[in-house]
Amino acid sequence: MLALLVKRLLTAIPVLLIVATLTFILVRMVPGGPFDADKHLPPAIIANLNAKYQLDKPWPQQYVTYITRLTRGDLGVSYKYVNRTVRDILSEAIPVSVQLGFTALILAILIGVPLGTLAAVNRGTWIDVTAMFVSTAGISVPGFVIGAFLIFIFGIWLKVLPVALWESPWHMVLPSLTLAFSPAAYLARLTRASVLEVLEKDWVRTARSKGLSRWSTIIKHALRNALVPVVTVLGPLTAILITGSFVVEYLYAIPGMGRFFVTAVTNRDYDLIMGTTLVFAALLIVTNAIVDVAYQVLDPRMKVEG
Amino acid sequence: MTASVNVSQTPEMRHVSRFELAFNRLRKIPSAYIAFWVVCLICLMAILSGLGIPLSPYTFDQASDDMLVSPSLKHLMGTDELGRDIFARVIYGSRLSISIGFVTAGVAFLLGTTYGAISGYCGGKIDTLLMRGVDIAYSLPDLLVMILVGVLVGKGTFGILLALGLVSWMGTARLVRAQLLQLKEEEFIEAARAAGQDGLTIVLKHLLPNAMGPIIVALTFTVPSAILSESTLSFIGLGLSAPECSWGTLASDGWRSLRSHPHLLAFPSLFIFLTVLSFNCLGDGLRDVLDPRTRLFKG
Repeated sequence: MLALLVKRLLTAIPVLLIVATLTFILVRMVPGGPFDADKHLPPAIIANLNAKYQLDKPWPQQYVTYITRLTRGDLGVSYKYVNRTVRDILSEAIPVSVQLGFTALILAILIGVPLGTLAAVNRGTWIDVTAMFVSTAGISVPGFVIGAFLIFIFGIWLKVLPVALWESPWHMVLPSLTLAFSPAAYLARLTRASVLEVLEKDWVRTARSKGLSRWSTIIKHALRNALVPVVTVLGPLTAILITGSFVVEYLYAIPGMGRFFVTAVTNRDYDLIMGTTLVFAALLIVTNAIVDVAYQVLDPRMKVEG
Repeated sequence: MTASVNVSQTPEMRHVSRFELAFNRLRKIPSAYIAFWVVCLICLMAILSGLGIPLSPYTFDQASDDMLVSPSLKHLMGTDELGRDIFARVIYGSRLSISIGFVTAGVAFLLGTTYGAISGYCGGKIDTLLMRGVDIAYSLPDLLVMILVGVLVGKGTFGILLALGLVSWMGTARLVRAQLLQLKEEEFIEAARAAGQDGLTIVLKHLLPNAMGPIIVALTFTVPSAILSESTLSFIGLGLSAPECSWGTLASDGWRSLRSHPHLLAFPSLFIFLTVLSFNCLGDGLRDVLDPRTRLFKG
């Protein structure tokens, strides 16, 4: 198990290199350079700026320089946030996004999985119908609508919770709820479908007929197998929650990675784009590796080769 | 759509009968049956909106000062800051939002199923290689892909369609692969192989039909989630923008005046919600009907 994890993490290095290469090419294919927006700058100054950051060199040379620096752990500097390195900016933004993402993920699992199991076990009853209506409605609402709704109720109307910035634990309540809402509903639906399927298996009947209690069967036998599809989506879901919190960061003015990434793209802040993309990619690879290992623990029949 | 895909490998006669059978079963699930007609209605609205409707989304009444009015009989959903009727704009916006949903789901299905099936069935080194491919595709932030596609193809409807298609197939691929990995260890596959069937037949006739339930559930999420993605992107100003008119651009306009004029955000949001909810309910019904394993209806 540990060997598999190590192996998966080792394959991450070439993957990260490919991501770096692709992103490098992509950002330079997009028209416009980092200093184009400053229209008032004379051409000579722009040329000087480009020379300072070595942007006047041909792409292959820039690429070699970048990768060489990257192997030393140097992510480069921002062209827009003067005198700040990409490492500086990211080390402030990553904890915020990770904190927000994980809080939302845990909320989503704690709400979604029990809700889905409860619905499946009580299939066809009012519990099932209610749980499924709530969760179907939950995946049908855009994040910005939930955000706007929560801001309207708790921020503007009741005035009980802060609706912007990232300072105290109270500031985390509305953003995490907004972010967790639809993943929770999604997990509930997935868990229900999966548990229903497993409950029909022969071995569940066998376990019951051997005298195991209903909940003991569900928790010890059914749920363990039913969670395989749920675990499948946790990898992408974690990444989506950590990196895709952009809407939430936009709504609540939170200084996370999403916000820096978008400003970086608009500003053509090449090194910052590269840095953010690589961090996104690394987070994703790690979560996926953990998920693949979790697969084997849950269902040893699956032969995942890494 | 799902029904025809599901049975595309079977002879024509069976195709028709199975579709009708599925539809007859669907009628017995009230929520799904209602959702089916709501979806039809919304699609019809989207198609007709292009042909010209009584209220134009662009004209405004210059004689009166009907700007930013709240919902009334004259303007069912009120008007925006230029005096344009929100009801007309919401109907007009459905055209873009709906087509974006369908095209994206189609692309995700074709690409994702093919990719996932190859990966899951072949296993071994091919699987590892293909899944690293998905990892890489996933690692590129959607936003970057969308902006790049927008720049290369031209920002607009086609750009966002291509972008959404390109970023939404990986989920299906992963799911199909995971399903196939699990299914191919089952006894009936061993039996099929022992009977001398070749790989393609096994995948198309035995593995994919048995994995269809989860695939349908995944597709159920794709149409509405593409609608949601588009609206979200447009909402934060990175998707479509004026003069294009989708539910997302309308909501984006509304967000700016949430405190003073909530109706500008409320009505486009309501339509997004209703459409997405209907698609989701319909998909739930289709799953119960088409998935051979859920056996909700015996016989």
